[in-house]
Amino acid sequence: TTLRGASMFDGNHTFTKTMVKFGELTNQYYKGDVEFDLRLNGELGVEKDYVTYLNQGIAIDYTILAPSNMARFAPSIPLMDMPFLFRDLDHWNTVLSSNILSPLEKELSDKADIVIVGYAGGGTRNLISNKKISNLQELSGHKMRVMGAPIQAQVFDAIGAAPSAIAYNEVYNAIQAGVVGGLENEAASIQNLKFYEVAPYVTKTAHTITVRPIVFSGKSFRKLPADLQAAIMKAGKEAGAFGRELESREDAIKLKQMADAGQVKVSDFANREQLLVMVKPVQDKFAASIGATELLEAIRTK
Amino acid sequence: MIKRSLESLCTVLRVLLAILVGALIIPVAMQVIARYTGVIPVYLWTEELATFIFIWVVMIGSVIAVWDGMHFDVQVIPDSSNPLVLFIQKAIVLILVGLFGVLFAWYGIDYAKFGYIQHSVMMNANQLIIHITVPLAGLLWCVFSLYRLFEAFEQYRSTAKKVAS
Amino acid sequence: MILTTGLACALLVGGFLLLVIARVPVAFALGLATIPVVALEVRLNPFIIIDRMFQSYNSFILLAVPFFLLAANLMNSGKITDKLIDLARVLTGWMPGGLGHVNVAVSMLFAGISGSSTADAAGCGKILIPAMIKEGYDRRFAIAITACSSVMGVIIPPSILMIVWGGVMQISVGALFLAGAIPGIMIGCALMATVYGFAKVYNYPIAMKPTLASTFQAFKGAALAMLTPVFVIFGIVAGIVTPTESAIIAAGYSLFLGMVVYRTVTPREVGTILYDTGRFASISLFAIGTASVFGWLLAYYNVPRLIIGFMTDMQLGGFGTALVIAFLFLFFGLFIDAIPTIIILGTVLLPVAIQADISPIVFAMIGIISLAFGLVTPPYGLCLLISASIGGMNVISVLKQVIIILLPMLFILLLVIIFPEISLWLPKTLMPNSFN
Ligand code: NA
Ligand code: NA
Repeated sequence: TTLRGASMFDGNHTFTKTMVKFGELTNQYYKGDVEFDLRLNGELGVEKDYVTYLNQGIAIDYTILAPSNMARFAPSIPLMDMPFLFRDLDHWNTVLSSNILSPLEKELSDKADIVIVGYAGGGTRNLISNKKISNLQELSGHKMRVMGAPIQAQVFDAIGAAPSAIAYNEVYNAIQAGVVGGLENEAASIQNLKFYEVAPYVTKTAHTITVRPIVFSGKSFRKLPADLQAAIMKAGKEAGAFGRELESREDAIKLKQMADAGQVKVSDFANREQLLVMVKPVQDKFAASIGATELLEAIRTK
Repeated sequence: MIKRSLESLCTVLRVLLAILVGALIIPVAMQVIARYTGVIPVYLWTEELATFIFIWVVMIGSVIAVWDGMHFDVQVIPDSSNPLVLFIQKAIVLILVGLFGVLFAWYGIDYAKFGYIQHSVMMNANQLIIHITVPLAGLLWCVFSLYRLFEAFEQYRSTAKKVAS
Repeated sequence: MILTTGLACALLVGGFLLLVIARVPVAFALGLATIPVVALEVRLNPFIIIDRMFQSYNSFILLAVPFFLLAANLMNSGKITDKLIDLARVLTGWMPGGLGHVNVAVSMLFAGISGSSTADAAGCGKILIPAMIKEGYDRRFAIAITACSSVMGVIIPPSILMIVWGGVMQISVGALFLAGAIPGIMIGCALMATVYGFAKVYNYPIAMKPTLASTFQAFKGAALAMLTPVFVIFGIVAGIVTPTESAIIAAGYSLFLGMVVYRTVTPREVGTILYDTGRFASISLFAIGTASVFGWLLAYYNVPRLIIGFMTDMQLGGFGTALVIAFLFLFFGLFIDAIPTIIILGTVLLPVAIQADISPIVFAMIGIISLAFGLVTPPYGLCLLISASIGGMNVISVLKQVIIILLPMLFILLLVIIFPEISLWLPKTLMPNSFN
């Protein structure tokens, strides 16, 4: 059997490394013959396309995805990367090592026929701006680009920023021109897409610690022998843990690299706890709207 | 009769196309006005609506261009002066376009269904409203090019008659 | 079965060429050529092809295409083009081969206002090709110079291609706009020199001797139209609009000029213009869809990876790599539209360019100029097709003239490759912070 994977990035990216690890581990746990053909550099398209392929069981069998890309099928999925969901890296790691997210996994499997085999991720998303933003006052009215999901806009609206709709591939030019004052993203993206050239101020709001599920196409998964399925699930969990450790470590290193090179000026956000209070009603309302009030409570108390 | 109804169908599409291109200006202009003047609030769905309209523009436009024979082709070999050869050459092209249309329409049904199980993130619109353009465009390419094939045949017959007499 | 790279490549490229020779429209030929591969390959199915095609339209950046076309169409039907031609006449009409120079000069003016080359070929060609034929110019020369000069539309800013390029590859569109100015003007000068040569050989007449009054009149008439680039570039620099949105400013301003200032566009005509814009834009945009599928299949079978590997192995160095890049863009431009080529080839070659130490902005200029030349090279050269159909001739019969006119333009491309400062000087001077 040959299983095909896709990565939008090159061989050095943590997603790619995590998927390579996933392949190695599966081979280790499976007695039969299985090969992994991982295509890099967006050769097979972008994440949005991968979702379609996985749903249809074509072109690729596995990949790593941002949850927002699956929101079109399963509206509760954006809960996974809702801003201010996790208190810190420990909380995040505890939640992802447990099976607390299984209601979301079930919804995804039912509605999109996509199986989550593990959780990678670990980038910390911060504010990136063309001027310094270190407290609530400076944040007030700050025009920023947010990801295209209502919950993202609502959260940043709740903390006083002015969220704006701009296509991702226009963000660089929009900041340079001053159409918006910045965006929010993780260190790797700031580095890869050179956002620091136009927005050198990084404010450590740490509002999101990314969750990036390792996903398998339900259609391809069901065709595999049971022992291979078991090997994949086991390898997925472990590759996820490997990926989380790797990425959260590299995220901090990348931010430091950019700071040391003078590309970014990093500052803390004064009274970050205040933000948590401000966003709570928005989070509750969103959870209620997707019937996930209990799940949210369970994550918070974990 | 058939020609008249196809012609009027095409006229409807033409009017729709003009309206959609005009309508395309609205969400993008709103986006600029909202962000810069603050007169209206920032709507996050403008980008989504713009791309929705855009997809309809492309698909309708491609259909009209099949009816008008406006899709760009490339002449490598000069036209034959033999009416039969000319007819066959035209027929091959029209049949191939029609074939592409049939495949598009047929597999487009699945694609429309695939749209039906999804909702756009900002407007929460059922994606069927854009995915439906695929089978629709396929069907119309096919119908229009088959009618043009019929016309080409009629034209060939009349020239052949003239040559004979 | 699982196809090998070689077989898939042969089926795709061979099928496409065969279909094109059979005169299947290029957009459909690209789509039809994928059918055998999809039918034979077990890992692929029609769904994937349709999805690739559909998703390629799902892009905000492509909105610049209809908006810039709308602006240009409004200019053409609002008699703004006539005013530009009047200005070009007093500026260059007194030289031998007058109308030829006017043709080039008006394209430069038009290019500064519009982001589209095809609208230039159509709008200016409709007036100047008949005028040139009437004054005794060779019909083939009239067609060829109209087509070749129109390519400046996407090289001199603003430019649809640069907006797409900047968006796809994360490069400042403002810097690309500035980088295109000098190469664009150099191409204009090269074209004028060519016209002068033709005029000497064939004894072409001058068009007019301008008087002070006619010069003043022409400047006054064109002044408002010439403000468009100011608005577009100001809109981007002042941070009012993103590059894609700037296209809507150009369209809005042209509409204002046509309906309110010159009063040459009636509300009824606006409807017709919207329709024409929609139809023409969607013909090129539709081809982007099928081209994306075609390109995606090549990628699926690893063809770009082979190209990169091959080029890295050859150890060409900066200059050699740049030459190969230009050649690849020129070659693709023979068959496919510029925007899909940017999407298919540009992203593949960017890492190659960076490895060879070519600045991304210079790489962009090499790509865009080469692709602009593709607008006049058959089999698929839209501007040449348009001007040939206005002049009532077959594309093949004007080929010789096109090649003669293209040669000096290719020389300018070579200069851009050899001296990166031609592109870099202006953006470095005016936008130093886009270079870190
Ligand atoms: Na231009
Ligand atoms: Na011209």
